[in-house]
Amino acid sequence: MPPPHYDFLIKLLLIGDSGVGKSCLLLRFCDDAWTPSFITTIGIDFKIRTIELDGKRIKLQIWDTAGQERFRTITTAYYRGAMGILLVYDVTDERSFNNIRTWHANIEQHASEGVNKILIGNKSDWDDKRVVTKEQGLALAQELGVRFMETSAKLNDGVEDAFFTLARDCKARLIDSQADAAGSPGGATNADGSVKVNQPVSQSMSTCCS
Amino acid sequence: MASTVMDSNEEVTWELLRERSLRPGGFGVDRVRIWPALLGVQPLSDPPPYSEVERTPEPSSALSGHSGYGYEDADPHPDERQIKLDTDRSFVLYPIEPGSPSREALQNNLNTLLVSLFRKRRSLHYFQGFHDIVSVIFLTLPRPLHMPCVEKMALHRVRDAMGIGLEPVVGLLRILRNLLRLVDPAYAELLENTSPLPYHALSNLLTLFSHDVPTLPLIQHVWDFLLVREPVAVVWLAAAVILYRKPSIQLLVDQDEEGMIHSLLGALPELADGEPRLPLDGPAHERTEILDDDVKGLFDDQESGDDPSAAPVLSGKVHQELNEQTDAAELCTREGRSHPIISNVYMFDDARGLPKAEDDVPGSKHIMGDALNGTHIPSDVDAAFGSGKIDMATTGSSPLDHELGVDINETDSACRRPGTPHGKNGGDNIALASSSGAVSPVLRSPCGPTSSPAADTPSDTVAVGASGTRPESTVPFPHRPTRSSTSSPILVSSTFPSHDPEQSTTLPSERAQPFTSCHQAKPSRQSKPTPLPLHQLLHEADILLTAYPPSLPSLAVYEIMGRDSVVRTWHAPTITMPRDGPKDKWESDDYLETLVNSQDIVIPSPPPSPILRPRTPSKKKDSAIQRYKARYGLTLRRVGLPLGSLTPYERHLLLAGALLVVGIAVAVKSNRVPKVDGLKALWQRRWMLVSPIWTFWSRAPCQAGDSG
Repeated sequence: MPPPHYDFLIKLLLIGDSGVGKSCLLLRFCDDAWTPSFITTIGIDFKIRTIELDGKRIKLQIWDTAGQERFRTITTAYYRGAMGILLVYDVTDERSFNNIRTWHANIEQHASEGVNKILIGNKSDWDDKRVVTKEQGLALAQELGVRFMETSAKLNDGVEDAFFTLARDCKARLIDSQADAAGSPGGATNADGSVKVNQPVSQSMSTCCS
Repeated sequence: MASTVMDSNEEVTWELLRERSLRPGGFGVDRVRIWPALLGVQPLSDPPPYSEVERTPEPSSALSGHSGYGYEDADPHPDERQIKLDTDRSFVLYPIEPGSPSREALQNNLNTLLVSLFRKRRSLHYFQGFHDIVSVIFLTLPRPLHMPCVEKMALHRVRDAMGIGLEPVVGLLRILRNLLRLVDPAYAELLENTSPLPYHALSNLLTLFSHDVPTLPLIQHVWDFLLVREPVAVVWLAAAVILYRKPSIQLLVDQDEEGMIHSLLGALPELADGEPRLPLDGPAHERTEILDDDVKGLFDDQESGDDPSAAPVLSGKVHQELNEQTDAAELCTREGRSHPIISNVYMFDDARGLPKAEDDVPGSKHIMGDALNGTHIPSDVDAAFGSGKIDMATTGSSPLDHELGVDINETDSACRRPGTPHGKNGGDNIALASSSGAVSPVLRSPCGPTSSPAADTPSDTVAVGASGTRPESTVPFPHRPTRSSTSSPILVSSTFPSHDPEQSTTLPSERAQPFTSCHQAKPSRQSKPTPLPLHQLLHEADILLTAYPPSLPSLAVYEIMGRDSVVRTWHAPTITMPRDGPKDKWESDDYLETLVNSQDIVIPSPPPSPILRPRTPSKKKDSAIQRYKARYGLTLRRVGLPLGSLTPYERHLLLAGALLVVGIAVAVKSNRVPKVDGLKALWQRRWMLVSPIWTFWSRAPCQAGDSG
C-alpha cells in the first residue's frame, strides 16, 4: 500500500438552493476552472483537493449536493459525516437567500453537533443583478452564528478564502484540540504515523471556532 | 406480465428488437420508428411516418415555424421555476454537430416541451434530471412525436420518480443492492461498507443514464436497450456498470482510498459504440475530462498536493503505444475485425482443445439441459454466480462452468496485449484477475487493474488465461438459477437472444474488441483509458437480467415496489399493429397519471443511515485485513448466523414474520381459535410472504461458507 499523501482528511459539504453555484464553487476550488455551461447535479457527488495548513497536508473531500427539495431525502444522509458545511446562496436570487434558514434548520436536524459552518453569498461579481446586499448576508450570518463570505466562482474571488477558512476551523476544532488533549500530534494514528480524522471528536467540541 | 397482451407475432418482434438492441449501434436510424412504437405512441410502420418528412434531430425545422407544443396558455405548473433553472443548464455536452442550432434556442424549445407536459399532466412533479431524459427524446425524434413520446415516457416508465418524493428511486437502489448481493456477495459487502445503498447510481436510475452518458449516439443506444425492456431493467444495467468497475474498486480499496469509490462509480466508464458512424451521429464528444477528474482527484493527493496541474509527463514511448492502441481500437471498432493478437489468443485456446464460440451457440440448449440435470450445478444462484468461483474456474470441466467463464479469459487476454500499459506486477494482476473473475463471472471487466506503462510480456496472457476459464462464447446464455421457479415466462423467452447462425459467426470479430489499457483502474494519468464497447456492456446487462430476472424472490422486487409502481403497472405496448377494442386500464394515460401520488409505489424503508460512516483508522485497517483474508480464504468469515448479511430492517422483518408464523401455527394446531379455515388461509398467505425471506435466509449459509 502506498503511504498516505496527507495528514488529515476533512469532509466538507456544500448545500443551498438549486442554481446558486455550488458545483461552480467546487469546480473553481478543486480544478481552478469555471464554465458558464454547467450541468445540473443529480443526487450527490464529491471532489478532492489537498491543501496545506500549518505545515500539515489536509485532504479535503468536498461533497456537492443537488439543490432541489426532493433530493433532500438522500442528501441529508450525508450531513452526519460532514465536518464543515458551506451554506450557499446566490446574491442575485433573494429566494435562495431566504431559504438559507431552512437549510440551516436542516443542518441542526441532521448534521453532527458542532459542525463548522460558513455562509457563502455567491455570484458577487454580478453587480447589476444583485438583490442581496453584503450587509444582509452578514446580518444573517451573525444571527445564525456562522462565518460569512461573498464569493465569485466566475472571477475566482473569495473562493480559496472560503474553503480555507472553513478547513482551518474544522482543523482547529477536530485536530488541534484533539492533539492538545492527547498530547500527541493526533488522535488515532496509523501505523505509518499519519492521522485521519474520520469522525468528529465530541470531547473537543468546546474549541469550536465558528 | 407483458406476455399477457402479446400475440406470438408481438413476442417475436419484441424479442428480435431486444436482440438488435445488443448489437453495435443498436437500432441505428430505425429508432425513429422503433422508439415511438416501444413507448406505445404508434405501432411500427413502414415507411416511417415522419422520418422522411422531418429528419431528426433536424434542428432548423425543429426550431423554426413551430411555436410550441400546445399547452402554452394553460396555467403554470409549480415546478416551472426549477424546470427553467435546469433547461438553462441543458445541452452542455451535445449536440455538437456543425449546423446545430444555438444552445439557447434548443434550451428554449426544451423548456417549452417540458412546460407543456407538466401543464397537461398536472399531477406529475418535475425532478432534476427529467430534463436530461426529455432532451434525448427531443434530439432523437421528429417534433410531432416529442409531446406524445415524452408523455408516455413520463407516465409509463419514469412515473415513480415524479411523485412527491424520491423514495421510489431509493426503492430501486435497494433492488440494485439486492442484485449486487446476489451476483457478488463479497463485492457487495465491500461497497456497502462505504455506502449502505448504491447512491452513486442514483442519477443512472433516475435519468435512465441520460444525465451520465456523454454523447447522443451512446445514450440513444443505451435507450434502445432500455426501451425494449421493462422499466426496471435500468437497475440491471446499472449493476452491470458497477460490476464492470470491480477491479478498479478493488484497487482503490487496496490503496486505502475507499473514500473515492463513490466518485469512481458516480462516473461511467468511457464508452464507445462499435458501429460506424451513422449520418445522424455526429463525432462523439467524449467526456474524458470527467474521467480525468476522477483520476486527477486521486492523484492530487499522491503526487501534486496543492497543485493539480503537476502531472507527470508521458514519455514519448508511452504516447506512441497509446496512440497505436487507440488506432487499433478504432480499426477494430469500426471494421469489426479481430485484432491479430486476439486471433492468437483464439488459436491458443483452440490448441487447448476448447470449443469455439460457433460450436457453443447451437449447443446452448444441451448445455442448459446438462446444467439443469445438475452436473456440477451449485444448488443455487450464489453458488453458481457468487462465491466459490475459483473452484469452478480451476476444474473447468462442466458445461456450465464453460458458460460461466464467458469473457473472462478473452477479455483478460485481450487486455494483456503486448504493449498494453498495465500493472507493474504481473503477479498482482493475476491474483486480482482471478479473484475478481472468481466472484463476478457474469460480468467481468475487460481489463484487469492495470495502468502503469510497464510493458509486460504476452506470457501474462497465458497465466491469466489459465487462472480463468475459456475464451469465446460471450453468447448470453441462460445460466439461470435453477431454484427460481417463479420466474415469469415472458422473461425467460424474451431475454434470450436467438442465435442465428449469421450472428454467431460474427461473434468472434464482434467480441474482438480492443480492450487494451484499463479504464482508469489505477489512478494514472499515463494511460488513457480505452473505451468499453457499449454493446458489450449491454450484453452483460442482458446476461444479468436473464440470470437474475426481476421475478427472482431473493431480489424482492415485488416486495419493494408496490402495486402502483411502474415496475408493476408497465405492460409492453402492442408494436406490430394498431389494436382495436377497449384499452386496458394500464394503457390509459389518465389512469396512470392518477397513480403518481399513490401511497403504494414503494414499500417504505427506514431512512438511510449516514453514508459517511466514520471509522477510526485502526478499525478500518482491521476490517481491510479481514476483507483481504476473507478474499483469499485465510479466515472463515461469518461462520455464525448469516443474519449479519441482512440489514436491521430485514432482520426485524424476518423476526416478525417468523413470530407471526409460529403464533398462527400454534393457534391453528391447538384448535383454540374459531374459524380455523380462515386462519389456514391466512397461514397460506403468510407463508407466501415469508417464503422469499426464508429462501434468502437458507441461501445465506452457503454464501457465508463459500466466501469464507
